[in-house]
Amino acid sequence: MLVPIRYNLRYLVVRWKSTCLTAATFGMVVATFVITMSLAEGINRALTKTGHPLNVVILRSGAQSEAQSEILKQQYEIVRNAPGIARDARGEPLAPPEVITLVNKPRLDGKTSNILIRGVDPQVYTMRPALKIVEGRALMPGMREVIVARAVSQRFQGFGLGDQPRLGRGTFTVVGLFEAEGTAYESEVWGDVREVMQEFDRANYSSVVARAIDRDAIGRIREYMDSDPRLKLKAKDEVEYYAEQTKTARPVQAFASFLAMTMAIGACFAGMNTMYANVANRVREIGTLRILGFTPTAVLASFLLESVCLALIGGALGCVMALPINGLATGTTNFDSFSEVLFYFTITPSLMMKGMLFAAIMGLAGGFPPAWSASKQPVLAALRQV
Amino acid sequence: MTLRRFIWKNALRNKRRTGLTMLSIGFSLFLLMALLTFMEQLLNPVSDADSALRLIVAPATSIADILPLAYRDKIKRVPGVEHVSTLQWFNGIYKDPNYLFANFAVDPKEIFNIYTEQIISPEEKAAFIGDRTACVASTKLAERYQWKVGDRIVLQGTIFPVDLDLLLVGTFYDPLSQESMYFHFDYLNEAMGNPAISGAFSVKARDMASVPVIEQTIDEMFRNSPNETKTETEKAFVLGFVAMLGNIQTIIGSVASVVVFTMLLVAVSTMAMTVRERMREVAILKTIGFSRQTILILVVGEAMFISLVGVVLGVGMGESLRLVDLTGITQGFITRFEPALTTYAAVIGSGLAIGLLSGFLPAWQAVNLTITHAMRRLD
Repeated sequence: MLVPIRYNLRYLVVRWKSTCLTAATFGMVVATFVITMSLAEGINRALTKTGHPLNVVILRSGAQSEAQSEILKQQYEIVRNAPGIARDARGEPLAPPEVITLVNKPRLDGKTSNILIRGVDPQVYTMRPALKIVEGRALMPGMREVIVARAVSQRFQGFGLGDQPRLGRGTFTVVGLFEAEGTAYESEVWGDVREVMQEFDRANYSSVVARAIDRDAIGRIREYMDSDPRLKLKAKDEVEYYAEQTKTARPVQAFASFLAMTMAIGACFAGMNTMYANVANRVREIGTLRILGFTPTAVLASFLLESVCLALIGGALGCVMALPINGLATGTTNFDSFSEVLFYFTITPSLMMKGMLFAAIMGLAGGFPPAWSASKQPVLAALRQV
Repeated sequence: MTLRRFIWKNALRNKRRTGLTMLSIGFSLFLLMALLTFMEQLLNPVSDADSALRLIVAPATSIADILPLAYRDKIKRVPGVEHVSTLQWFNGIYKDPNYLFANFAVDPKEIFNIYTEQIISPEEKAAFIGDRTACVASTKLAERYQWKVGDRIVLQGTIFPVDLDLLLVGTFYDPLSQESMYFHFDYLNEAMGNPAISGAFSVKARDMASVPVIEQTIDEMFRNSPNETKTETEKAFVLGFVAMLGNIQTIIGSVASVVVFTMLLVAVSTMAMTVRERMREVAILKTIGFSRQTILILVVGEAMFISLVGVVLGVGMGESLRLVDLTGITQGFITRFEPALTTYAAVIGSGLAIGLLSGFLPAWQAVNLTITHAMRRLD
């Protein structure tokens, strides 16, 4: 027979002042945890959404990212004719070459950061369908012009529609702004591949992105690259390629864990204090419960539950406090490509659940010792207490 | 019964509560200390007298670009320049692709004249200069991989399509305890088929006065050439990298203030509990003629005592972070834990402020209750 939970909840209401203070403490911890984790979540989301399940990124075998890779022009002919690559409407292989370079430009906040410039072939829009022009127009091949991710134009100086940023040796005109469903392309500037190579003095491509006929063909393309010793190239599943880059978020996650753990320990002690005081104030009530026939275990469960409820109220408060940050944009550097990657603080339902779970664990840890001492109270002595 | 003894007795009345409060304040102050130290070390890279004399010449466009090797001699002739070395970030992988350490292609004759605080024995330096495939590692890096002099180390190229087979001929001591490695620029250049390009150059100025002049002269010299340069002090260059991480200052700063505020909540609620329990005592003290001030001092004194112990605990835990390998955890962004004086001041100050406030608020309520009211309060 368990003690009715109404008893605990009503007590929390009667003691609303101390309930509020303790809940606020737990709330702060949960809010901090949710906010820092939403940073990591945002970085991961920007990168994991980016890959297309049938795309293959072809790089030089030692390179860790497109930015480090180089594919010679004579290699490109061999690459695009690899088995397993899909064809476009004109019967050409869907395997556009790309060149990746960086420019160091001032942000609006005055600090400089690297923007990734991607030189693309017209086939790229088939390869990366997430891209949508939202202002201005698309790129014209063979023109010295660029399209800029809207987020980049809002974060960096001189990348608005009609601006003429200096990229490499020449200036390019911004003819369009695009969005790309929150993928990593939203941190990039795209121009025509041959124009970019010319202005940045590049003799070769950086990478080739190829569309496989189906999932099985990805393996065939990979084997073909590995088997040809002339090439020294490797093919990577595009989804995996971007998933690997999420290690950028690892320091943030480590920081969030350290922060949350340390704060949680501090909050547990505070919660323990409150619960101990709650138990001490109810010596007679506990005695009464026991006389009514509730077992020590039921008393233990009742007080544990009360502590968890208290923590969950705090957890809910924390989630609510964290919510306004959802969707705020910020940037960090992807240390694989060495360029700025923009992301949005992302609070998912599962992250909130984690926050609540975290609160519940704090409630259990902080509530157990006081609940234990409550259940161990000698009955008669308790009743005699004034 | 002196005042001090009274405070002491009161604090120990409920040992468990006092202990728990001390611990929660201790943990929060430890967190504050860690946060402030991390921020300090990221935003103020250590600068000894020598590092202020160092400049980095990098491509103006971005680090993805290169500079012609011929720039080295031109920079060397700039008035005020004492030493120049190539500085090519190789980004080589040793066994584990997920653990990167700094490995640079440099001019072995010059590099230790520029980084004078990195100490190497004359014999090992001579051995380094004498062998084209030689490399030297910082003691911390050699420790991590248990390398010994005479070991062959293969670095896999990532940016460069070559692997380098290197011979470890010595180790150098780095006061910043960074993990880094140097090898011959000429060896890399040869392996690449002599493109004669370097990602950057490291420059040592003769004196502080020449630093701004050198910055301007070098950038002026290469302006409107195909490879323009951006010359900045080493500190500015490092801060540029930190800025790339994102808005660290805001994030850490706001978290630190949340931590302090939470701590205050905890302390206030605990002290309020304590005072509530003693309302009748406060009334009795007033009845037998204790002044309001004395009673305030009693309660505030107790709160101060608790938070001071918290300060000691927090700083103690913070100091123990000196023993942790932070390099591995933070990917080399933070290599040591050395709190600045301002950090100590902030931590101790927060502790004291929390003691004052948390004691004063409930005490003020208590002394302002009329005696009869307080007597009637049951709690």
